Amino acid sequence: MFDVMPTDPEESFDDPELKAAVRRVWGGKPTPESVRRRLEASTTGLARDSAMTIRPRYVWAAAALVVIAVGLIALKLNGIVPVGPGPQAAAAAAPLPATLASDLVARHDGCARAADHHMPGVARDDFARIASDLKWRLGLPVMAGPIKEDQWTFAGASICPVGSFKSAHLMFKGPHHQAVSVFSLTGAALPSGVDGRAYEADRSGHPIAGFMHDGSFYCVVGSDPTGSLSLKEVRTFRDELAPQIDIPRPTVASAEH
Amino acid sequence: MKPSAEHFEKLALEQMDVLYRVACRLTRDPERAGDLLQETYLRALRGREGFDLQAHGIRPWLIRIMHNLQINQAEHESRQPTTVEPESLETSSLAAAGDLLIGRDNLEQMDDRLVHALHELPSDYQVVMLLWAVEEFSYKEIAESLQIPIGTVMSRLHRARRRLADALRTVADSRGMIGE
Repeated sequence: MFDVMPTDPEESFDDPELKAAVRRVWGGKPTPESVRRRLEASTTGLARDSAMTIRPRYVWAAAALVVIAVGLIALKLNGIVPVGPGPQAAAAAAPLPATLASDLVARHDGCARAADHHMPGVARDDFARIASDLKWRLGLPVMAGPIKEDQWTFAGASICPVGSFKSAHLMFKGPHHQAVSVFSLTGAALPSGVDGRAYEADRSGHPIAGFMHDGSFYCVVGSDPTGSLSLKEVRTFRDELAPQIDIPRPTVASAEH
Repeated sequence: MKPSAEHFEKLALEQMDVLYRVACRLTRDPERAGDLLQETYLRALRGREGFDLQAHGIRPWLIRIMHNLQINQAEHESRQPTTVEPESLETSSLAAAGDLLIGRDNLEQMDDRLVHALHELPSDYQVVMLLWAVEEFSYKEIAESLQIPIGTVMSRLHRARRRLADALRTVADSRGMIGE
């Protein structure tokens, strides 16, 4: 089973006994069904899409998407299709469950210490591409956009765990060691969450402002060594970023607003 | 020769089980293996224009993508601060022992000494051993897949086999299975 190997590279060594033993341990393991389903769902047609071959049916589909997008933009401009919490929802924000708030803060603090938060394979400065790259990995629309404040810099985007859930996590750094995290994660992290409703908390000096949208939870977490970053400012960041979620969905204002 | 998009997708997805097994050896964690597999296919399907159907087909090309991704990810993680949750610690120790990758029923039927010895091998050695023993790759294919010289393939395989032999001998000694 452990004989001397040949030294000639062209001559492949054979040891049927060892091969059979290794095969018993590692061989024949198929890809788990859950992984296979996830992968097939996310890759179907990707090679064809990347080939940049435009076919008639894609032209029609693209035209239809443009019409829908224009319609949605028009509706949004008229305030008919809200993305993120409406003003009433923000005014009556529900408290964020303590466990989720703690998990968000822990992740924020952990990643804020890193000099570079960019994940390999995720775009570095194009927020539309960042949203697309992270959406592909996470399986849900991602909130990604710039923070329009002077001297704030984007430190990177990555997939990070929040408690037992994966999240899309963007990190921004302020000029005075402030940090802001933008999270997108499955609504399962907030089982009691209601679409369109705002959720807020102030946990260990970290203001958190979030909302449920289309079954997913989005939020902004802030930190500031001087304690000057307020919940109001974080709420403003959230409201500016909310329209960036890549697939806005027509929603009817809930009775709880 | 460049395959059509449909043909390429079919060829690539046919290799899913092989790639998953390699991902398990590279990451030593089933969940991360799934993520690595997905990332590999994303890269491969987006970058299919760079693929040319060569003598050894698509497998070395896909494994090369996966291997590079894993190296990049490992470098990235080494730069990150480490925040290890208790649950993660538990999972890591289990994964390191390889228990998560082996069904309990199968484990009982296997030579547990060999299972343990295989999972004690460094990841680089495990991948070479997997490609050689399970996937029946030639040295040349392994070298192309992992972008290492053939001599390195041979030495890794040799060292892996020596470590296995040593590990099995140690266990046998400790259990009094080898006579004076």
